[in-house]
Amino acid sequence: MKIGILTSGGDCPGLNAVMRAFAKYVCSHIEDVKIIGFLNGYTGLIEREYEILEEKDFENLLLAGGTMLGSKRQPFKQITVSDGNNRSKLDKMKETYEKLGLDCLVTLGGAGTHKTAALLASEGCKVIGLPKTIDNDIWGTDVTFGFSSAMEIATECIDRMHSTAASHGRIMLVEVMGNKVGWLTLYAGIAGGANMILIPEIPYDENAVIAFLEKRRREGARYSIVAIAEGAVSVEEAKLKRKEMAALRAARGETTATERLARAIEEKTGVETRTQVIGYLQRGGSPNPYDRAICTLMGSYAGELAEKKKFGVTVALSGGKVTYNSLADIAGKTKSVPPAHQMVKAAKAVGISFGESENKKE
Amino acid sequence: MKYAIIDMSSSSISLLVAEGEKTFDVILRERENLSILHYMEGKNLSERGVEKLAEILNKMKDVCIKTGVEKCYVISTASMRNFENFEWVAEELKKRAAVNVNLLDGEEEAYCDLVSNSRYKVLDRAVLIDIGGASIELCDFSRRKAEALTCLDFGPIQLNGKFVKNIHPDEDEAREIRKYVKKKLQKTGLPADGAFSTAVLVGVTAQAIYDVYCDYYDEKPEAEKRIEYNKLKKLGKHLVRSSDRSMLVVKNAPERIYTLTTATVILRAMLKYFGVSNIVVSDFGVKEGYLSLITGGKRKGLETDLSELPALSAEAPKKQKSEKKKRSKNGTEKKDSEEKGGGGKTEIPDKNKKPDGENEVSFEPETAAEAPKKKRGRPRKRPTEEPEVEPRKEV
Repeated sequence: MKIGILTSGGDCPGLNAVMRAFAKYVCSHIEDVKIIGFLNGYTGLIEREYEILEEKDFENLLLAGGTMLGSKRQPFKQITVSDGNNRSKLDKMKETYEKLGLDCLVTLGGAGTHKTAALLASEGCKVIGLPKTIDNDIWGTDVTFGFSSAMEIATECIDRMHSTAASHGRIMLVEVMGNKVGWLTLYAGIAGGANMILIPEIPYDENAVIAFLEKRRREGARYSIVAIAEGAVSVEEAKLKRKEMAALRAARGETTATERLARAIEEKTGVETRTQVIGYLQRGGSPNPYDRAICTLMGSYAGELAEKKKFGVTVALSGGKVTYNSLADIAGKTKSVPPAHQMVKAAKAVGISFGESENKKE
Repeated sequence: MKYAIIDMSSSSISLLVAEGEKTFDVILRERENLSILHYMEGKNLSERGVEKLAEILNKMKDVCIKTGVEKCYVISTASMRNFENFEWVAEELKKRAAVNVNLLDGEEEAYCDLVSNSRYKVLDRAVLIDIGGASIELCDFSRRKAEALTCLDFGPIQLNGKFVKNIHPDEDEAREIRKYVKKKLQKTGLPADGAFSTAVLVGVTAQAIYDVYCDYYDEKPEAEKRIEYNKLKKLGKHLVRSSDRSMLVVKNAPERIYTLTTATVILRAMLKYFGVSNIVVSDFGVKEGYLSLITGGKRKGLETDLSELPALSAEAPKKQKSEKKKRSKNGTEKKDSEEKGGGGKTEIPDKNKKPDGENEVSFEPETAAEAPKKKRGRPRKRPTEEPEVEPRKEV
């Protein structure tokens, strides 16, 4: 069996561990298996850049962060745009798949990767997906690999903010990755003891944010920590279309709300307010033990799906069990944080604010 | 009173919550995609498939409870009938989601379509077409009750298996599909070219084709949904030939990536056969019709008690493979049916008029027990017979 494998989109801890588990499974369970690793995600499939891999190439990968195949983003919207020769990237990928005589293509990626995988499946390629993202926003799976490690990193960063914030009596805004969904910010914020969590799914009211922080001050809190997602939006911004909001922010020279909010807080409260963007630290480094375990589980299960010739599906963790979902059912769907989610409720129950005005709250 | 109808089809599970008695106000509609094909193991629904069904059914029951639904009915057609282990599936759904599944056959399904679209009978020479995953239902609005319905025991799923090597048919395969459809229609005895001037398209597949059509032509979906035949023909060719067809389908109807092109080819063949000039897409389908029949006392359905909790143990017993697919009194193959609506160029019934209650429907059987008989034509193959088309290829 000839199996192609690629890692696409943003990297995260665990990619190598998944590939290791997959390779070990197929090499020990499928006769005469050949693994072809496409370099830099779908780019490798488009440009036919690949390496033939053997089982030994996957040794010592359990703890290795990043991806040994490299990764690049290929925007989904561009996939079927024709080039000068009337051929699209999808045409080229399909051609590579056919010319190399692949029996299966395994794609490790997030929501965008899964949409492209669904396109490939609909053009006859036999695809198995694996849900990779630090955002945990892939529909149909309780958790994605990479999320736990990113949460651990973000939590440590927030943890470390407490002492410096306390020392200076400051308000610290810690920006966590999460452009569209707030799972990482929510979990890291709770775990890191943030006093306020701002996520894209719950637009914040600037006045409510300030009122809460002032109240904390009046009640004797020397400092405050705000965990804010990259994609957090104000109530006013939430009324705009995404493009409108992006244009407005671009005109102000900003991509996220963090700096602007910090300035507003300092101006109105008179308290020194600083920001810290955790950034790409969240993607880097070795996967934590939980991720290593679920990567092994998911990767080997993907191998089992390949062995059973179960294609057009993506691996998932559901109700504590490893299983699969149809690619067609999950492509294009995002798992956002429901405002009434139990973690949101728990956070509110322990006094964490989500920046909502009193009228908005129940 | 608030009612809920949950419809399990081969591509989705959909929920309708409506309030009223003989006429209804729709309170909400929800749909969750579930490509049943991917959860099959041969002709059996897999354990994973049952898990997914139960998960979604439980979610929808929660919605019903929150919405204050008092009576809930779960229906299914070919998607359940086509499982060889459907008895086991039904038992498991009872255990895991505490639902009672009402299996409808093709005739009943078509009848529900008719009931919910009875307003179109005022149109001159109108035919209802419901292309499902595994069957196609046709209804001549001008005929009386029992003679009005024709059920074809094939759909895009079977024709993909029979004619299509990959996912989308190529030009030769599309031609073969059109020939096949024409032959089948000829055998039904349905009137051909010129007999109908308006086609009323019903079901999820019709809606998916409409969504793709609107995207392709950059048209805004309208309240009265119309399709122009020549534009549909051009779209059909695009889906067969063009490299960006998958993008159109994935964007608009990803759960139909395996069947939409073939469905469009089938539809085009039918419309050409009938010589239809006006095409409308209806908002109403099986759920609305079923609701009307139940509340009108023309059908008795097994209610699902929303207060009943699933059994604690989710342990599945061994799957029961029935020696023959046990048929309920129904027997045909399912089609996905959904609700959508539209109008045509000629006089269009008031879209805002609620689905008629039973006593305004001219296709009602004399008694609740009388099943609408098939129109003359090639008799529908019973599921116990050898299928005429090959089973769908494993993807």
